[in-house]
Amino acid sequence: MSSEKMVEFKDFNKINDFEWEIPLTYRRDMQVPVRVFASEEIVRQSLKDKSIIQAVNSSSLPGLLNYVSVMPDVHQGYGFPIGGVAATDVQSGVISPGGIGYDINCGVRLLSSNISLGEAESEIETLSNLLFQEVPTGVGRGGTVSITKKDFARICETGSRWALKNGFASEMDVDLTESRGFLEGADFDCVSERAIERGIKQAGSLGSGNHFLEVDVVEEIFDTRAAEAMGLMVGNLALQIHCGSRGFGHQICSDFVREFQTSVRKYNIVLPDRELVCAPLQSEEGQRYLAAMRCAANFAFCNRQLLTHRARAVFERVFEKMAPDFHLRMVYDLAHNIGKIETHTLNGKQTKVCVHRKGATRAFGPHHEEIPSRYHLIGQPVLIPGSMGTASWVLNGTDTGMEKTFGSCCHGAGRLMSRTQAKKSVRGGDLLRELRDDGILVKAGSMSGLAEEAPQAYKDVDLVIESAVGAGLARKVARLKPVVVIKG
Amino acid sequence: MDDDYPEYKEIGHTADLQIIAYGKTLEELFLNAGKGMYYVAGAVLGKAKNKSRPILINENDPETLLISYLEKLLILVDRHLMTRSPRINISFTELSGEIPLYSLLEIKNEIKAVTYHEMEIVKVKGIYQTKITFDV
Repeated sequence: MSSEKMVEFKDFNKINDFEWEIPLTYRRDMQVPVRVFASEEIVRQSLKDKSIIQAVNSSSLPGLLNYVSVMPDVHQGYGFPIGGVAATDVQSGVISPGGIGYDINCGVRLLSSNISLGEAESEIETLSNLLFQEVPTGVGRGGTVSITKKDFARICETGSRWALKNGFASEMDVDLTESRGFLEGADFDCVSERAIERGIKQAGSLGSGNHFLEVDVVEEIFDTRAAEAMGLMVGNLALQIHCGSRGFGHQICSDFVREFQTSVRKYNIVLPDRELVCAPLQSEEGQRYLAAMRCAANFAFCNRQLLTHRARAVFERVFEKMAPDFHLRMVYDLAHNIGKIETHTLNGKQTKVCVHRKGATRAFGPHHEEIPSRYHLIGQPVLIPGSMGTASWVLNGTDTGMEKTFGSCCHGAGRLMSRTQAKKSVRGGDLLRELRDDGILVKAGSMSGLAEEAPQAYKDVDLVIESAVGAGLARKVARLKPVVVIKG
Repeated sequence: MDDDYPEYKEIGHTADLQIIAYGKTLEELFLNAGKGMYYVAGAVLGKAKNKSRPILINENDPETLLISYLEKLLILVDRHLMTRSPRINISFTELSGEIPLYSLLEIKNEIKAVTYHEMEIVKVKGIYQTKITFDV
């Protein structure tokens, strides 16, 4: 068995134009097949890095159900690919920190406004300057909220509810967050002191890397009823916030990836990649990881809420005189990197599973009990940010997605170019000017960091969306165009 | 490979940052891995603090030992500290020594985690080497 053997296009069985399968016969250690939901063009593109072989490696985990799903924005990660979904049986399966990712509950939220770009145009520069000034971004910046260890523990155990209780959120904000901004079963005692040290000073901070705050304009609407339910109107401004659990989540993942190196030996689990390490979900260490991971997920929900509070204050300051009834309302907030215990229909039976989503969003179809009432008829909003110079998309979940991918969809455009390669081929200053010429104001702490996140470093988000929609995982609701980008 | 080998070199990774570190001994490999990490982080060394800190790490295998060592350096970075020419001894899965402390003037990239991805300490023509992938 070799984890290094690369997958070739001929190894796939075509199911339809947007579904391709690597069968169990491909490698002896596979427990389930791998299924890629993408166009032929994207499948061929994904063979250029290790993302598909990483999906094959992931399919060796014990207790997997159905198949490992690969989203159209897939790219190489470590252990699991980014853009992978794997569900394990809650009784006989495992939980793998690498299947959830280092930035636990890295996610995105979208807020809609009732002011148009036309009305706001003269204030956009002021808005961008104030957002950059007021929202802590970049390497080593602390958060906006000074908290005690007791507060931090409460945030970890109650998520966005802490923000609500302390005046940083409205009931509507919390109600329109995935899992209402709170995963039950978080246990602060399962978190290391080092993780606490890293997280406690970062509440209400954006961080660096691919995290951003972006003001968009709603460019096009594809589903009027769904857009109306989400408060999205053509020409109006919207705000996206993309960030996660900062150093806290990374430390929790690092701690358990290290601890589980021993667990796999203890439970006699043989894996082709050390980043895939896992423990039986019902084991003591599996339960401890789950409880610690939930702390980071709750922290991330609360962190995005604290950033929302800060950004809202800036928007209100800029627009309140111009539009006295101005508001910035939550559309939805969802996680990209998370492990959830969910109930899905498998072979006609309701089955409890542990869904690992790494670089993938939950995308539940209409009528699911987990969806807020305002979205019951249309399905859960699915938010797909593009790269900084390109469109972002709002979709909604479907019944087909529930059947095929445990109610999951892609999470972004997906990287195409390495950071090193992007820095070599793009100059941050030039990019800044080009985007400005296209009507996009960018504020960034570092020019090299900006070059790493250049649009050309990512796949064409529109092609990714065509694949997700073509595969039936989601339906189009609206397309957004960036106006202001604040990069960490 | 003979005596003419780099301390480390940066290689491309789609989402994150990756280096290969080299060393004639495990100690040299670890020191060069630390230098490589500082390089990709864009860390700028400041003044010597004229004090040092003892270091002692025990792990189950050399790769985990390297990750733990690099994480110790990241803890220092969080506290606006760096090290230069640390004195370390490695005995299979135990690392001990002294880390002289310097101030950290600047850092450009936040290294959020050191991963096991493609990490395998191997000896090629008498030189230890390993890939190290940093989550950023």
